[in-house]
Amino acid sequence: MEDQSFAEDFAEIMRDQDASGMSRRRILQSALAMGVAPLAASLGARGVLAADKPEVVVVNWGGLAVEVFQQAFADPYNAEGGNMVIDGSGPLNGKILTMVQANDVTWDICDAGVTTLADLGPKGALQPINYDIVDKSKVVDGMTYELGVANYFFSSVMAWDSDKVDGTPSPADFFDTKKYPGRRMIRKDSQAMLELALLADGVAPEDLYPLDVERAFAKFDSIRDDLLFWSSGSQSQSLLRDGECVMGFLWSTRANMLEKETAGRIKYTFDKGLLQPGLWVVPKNNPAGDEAFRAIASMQRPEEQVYVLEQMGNGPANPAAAEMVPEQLRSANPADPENRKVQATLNADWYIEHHRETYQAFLDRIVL
Amino acid sequence: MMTHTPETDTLKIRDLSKTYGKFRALDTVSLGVDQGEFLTLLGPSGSGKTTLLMSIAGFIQPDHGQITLGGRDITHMPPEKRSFGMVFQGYALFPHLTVNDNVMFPLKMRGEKGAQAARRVAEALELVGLSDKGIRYPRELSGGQQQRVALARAIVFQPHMLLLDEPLSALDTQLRGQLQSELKRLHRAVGLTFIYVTHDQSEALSMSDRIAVMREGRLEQVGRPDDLYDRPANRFVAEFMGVENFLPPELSGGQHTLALRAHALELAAGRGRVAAHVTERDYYGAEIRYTAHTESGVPLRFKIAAGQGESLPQEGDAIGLDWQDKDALPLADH
Amino acid sequence: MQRKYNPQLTYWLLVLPALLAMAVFYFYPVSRVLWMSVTIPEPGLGNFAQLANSHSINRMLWTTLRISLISTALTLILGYVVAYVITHAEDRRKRLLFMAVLASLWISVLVRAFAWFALLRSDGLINQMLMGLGITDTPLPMMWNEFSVLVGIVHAMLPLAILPLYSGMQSIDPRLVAAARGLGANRRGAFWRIFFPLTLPGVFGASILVFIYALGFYVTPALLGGGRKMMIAEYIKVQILEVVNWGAGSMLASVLLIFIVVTLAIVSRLVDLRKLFGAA
Repeated sequence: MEDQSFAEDFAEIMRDQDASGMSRRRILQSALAMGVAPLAASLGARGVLAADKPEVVVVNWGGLAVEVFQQAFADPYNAEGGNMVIDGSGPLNGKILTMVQANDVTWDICDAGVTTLADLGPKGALQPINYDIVDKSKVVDGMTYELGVANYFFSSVMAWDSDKVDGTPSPADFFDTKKYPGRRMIRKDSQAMLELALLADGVAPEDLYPLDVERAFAKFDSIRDDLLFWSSGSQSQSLLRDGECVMGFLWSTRANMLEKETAGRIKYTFDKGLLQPGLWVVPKNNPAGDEAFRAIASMQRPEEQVYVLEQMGNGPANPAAAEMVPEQLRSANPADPENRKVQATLNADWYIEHHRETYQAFLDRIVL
Repeated sequence: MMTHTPETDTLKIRDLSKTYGKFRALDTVSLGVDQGEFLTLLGPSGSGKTTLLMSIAGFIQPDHGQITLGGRDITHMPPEKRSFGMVFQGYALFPHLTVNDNVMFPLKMRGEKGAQAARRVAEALELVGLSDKGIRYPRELSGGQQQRVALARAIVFQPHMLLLDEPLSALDTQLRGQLQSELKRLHRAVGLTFIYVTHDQSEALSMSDRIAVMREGRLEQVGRPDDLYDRPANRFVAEFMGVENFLPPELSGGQHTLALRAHALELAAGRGRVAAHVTERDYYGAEIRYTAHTESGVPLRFKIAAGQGESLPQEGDAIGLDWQDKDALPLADH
Repeated sequence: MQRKYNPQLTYWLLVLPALLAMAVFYFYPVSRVLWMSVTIPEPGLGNFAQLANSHSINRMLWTTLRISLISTALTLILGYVVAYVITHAEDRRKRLLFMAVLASLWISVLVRAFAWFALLRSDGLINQMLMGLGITDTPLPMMWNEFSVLVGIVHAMLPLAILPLYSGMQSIDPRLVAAARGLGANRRGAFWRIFFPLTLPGVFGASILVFIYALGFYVTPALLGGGRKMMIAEYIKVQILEVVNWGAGSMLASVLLIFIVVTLAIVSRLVDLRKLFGAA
């Protein structure tokens, strides 16, 4: 089983809805792919004949996301004379670094997160975003970084089993095992989990960063014996669905699905959740050069981003998209203004500085 | 010749039966074995001789019948309680133990240890002529030596009797002959009851006090070797004892089939008692062996000493054959 | 001059493609990993110092070693019993049992882990049964701990132990046990003094195989351990692909590799045990 990124999980959700029972195979496939994917990707991705413009390879996490990105982004771009190819082989940080170090980069744009900036930025594996081409005004304030630019949003939220938890628990109750006995689950990653712990402990969203890592660790330490760790979205879903946990911190998309499939037994709230950006990053020495940034600019169109929200649940990064979101999708849209009000927003700068040692410390102190 | 006086250790087998599915491995077998006797179970493969031996040893539970030893019922006694020495086909020496430890094994199982046990092991190895091989492993020994270790191991604990399952079948002819006489010597030396399984009639004849001939799970005949040789009870036993000629009643003129050895048939001057024509003629130096067939196709084998100067019959010749009544054995129809 | 047929040359020509493939696809990457472990992030043994300093690495290594040893012992005991039963079963049943053993090899580790989850969890079949029978009031904690990890690993490894054990037992002459019985040993004596010593080479081989295999478990502990029982394979993967700390990852991979090579070297010296025990 692969520890999933959020984007990868999205891809999986879509496939689950498509054909239930596929998720396990998908996990296995990606585990297998660990060994062979770089080779396969380098063989497979460059096959298309170049048109006038150079080919741009966009790599995401596979499954239905390939199709959705094709329709939302590639088709309009190619209609205007571009040549965009969607590749679903999964841009794990370690894989991007391998390509860059081997001087054999075949990817132009990767569907990544802030940890990619943190892990690969200092190693010089990422190309700075060319903001002469990519329009900063088409991205929610603060979500443009030197080495990456937001293309959608997702949230980490608290969910609970209403059969086992009376009333509406506050995020503080997550850490009160006397009031609500039973196991809790969190992601096997420090990302977002520390923020949710601090928010639950009463830290105001605006005071969140720099993270008081020790305080967050102490919170988790206090319920250590009741903690389980999930490493894939489907696992987080099954732990709550099967009653193995009474509460959990998980991605809003999974929480939303749980609420639907359990007919409301599992509930969740965006309150004191954390909004996180999904980022486009460009590997150093990408084959298409600046054309990659023109492709990113093309993907900033609000209607394209709303299409992705409809199909996959990702919140649009372009503020202009907010009005275009259909009414019935708003409550589940992590970037919806109503939902943003009650959430904190991830600070990528802090991650770029501290993620690696914080994640390692999280493994040292909490997981093991 | 052993005197047959019933003693306490007499083994008695009554109505023993064992079936595997539809196959009757043993069919109401009854047999007595006297103390000190060398009894051979003789028969072709599948005749039940090994099944009978394994039932005596306790490895096979019979479906019916009873086995008693000195009047005590041992039918359901586990093998280790019976205290029978056993020599297996292929010897079954323990490959991970030295010769000494192999021979020590039955003593150890009986709680004997120390100097006395060691002395008994040494004695047993001396008896089989392997005193110098004690610290070897079985795989370092020749087949004949392994056979002797198996014997030493089977007798070292002074068992009630010794059961031997085709112990010589894996050896070449010369070694087999040598070990046959050694076994006989050993039998006399230790005075144990031997029950010996073989399919080789000459082996059975040369070694046994008595032979029990088996066929399809039944006992065909039990008797001294000369009894069986001279007076086989039926055609099966007679064939097993090497009788070459069987004359059906219509040819012999009597009421029974006559069993005749090759040397009992002689060339008649005239038509003789049976007419035949020569179909095969093989020269063996001292004698010439003939096969002839009667009109009705019954094969007849006879020999003529070479160098008699007469004109000898050739293949295709019509001949007459005679025999003396004292050499002919009428068989129960079977 | 007539060229003579050279068997040596033919031998090397036949072996060469495999050797080349091994060199390119195995030895080269492995040597890269070893090299990385002493050069990233800077040359030296800094990564290896973490073996002494890092709390999580210490705990993880200890967890890996402990789980591997215990699961190897349990697998061997259970596998021995199963192999014994198969060896002594009649032909038809033997085939059935073999199918059952092999069938579990065809099921992915992942599916097996999920199956154990379904059995062991609080609302799972076993707890429902125990509570239904009134044996316990509250569900037994069988999931998300070392117990469930061991169950999963032992189950996954059983065929690996059964096959070599069976082949060892199969080669033992059944007359040896009969001979021991005939010579005065009861069932237990015949088993422990004759049958068991003769299976030791198989036990030994199976132990090594299973132990080395256990060291590499990743999916099963991750799924059944609730994230707490991280073993070395998962830890390496996290370091390489997620934390992107290639120094620590390659160091641990090297440690695992060296540990296995040393174990095998020691074992290959002891392999003479086979001769000692006279089997095969």
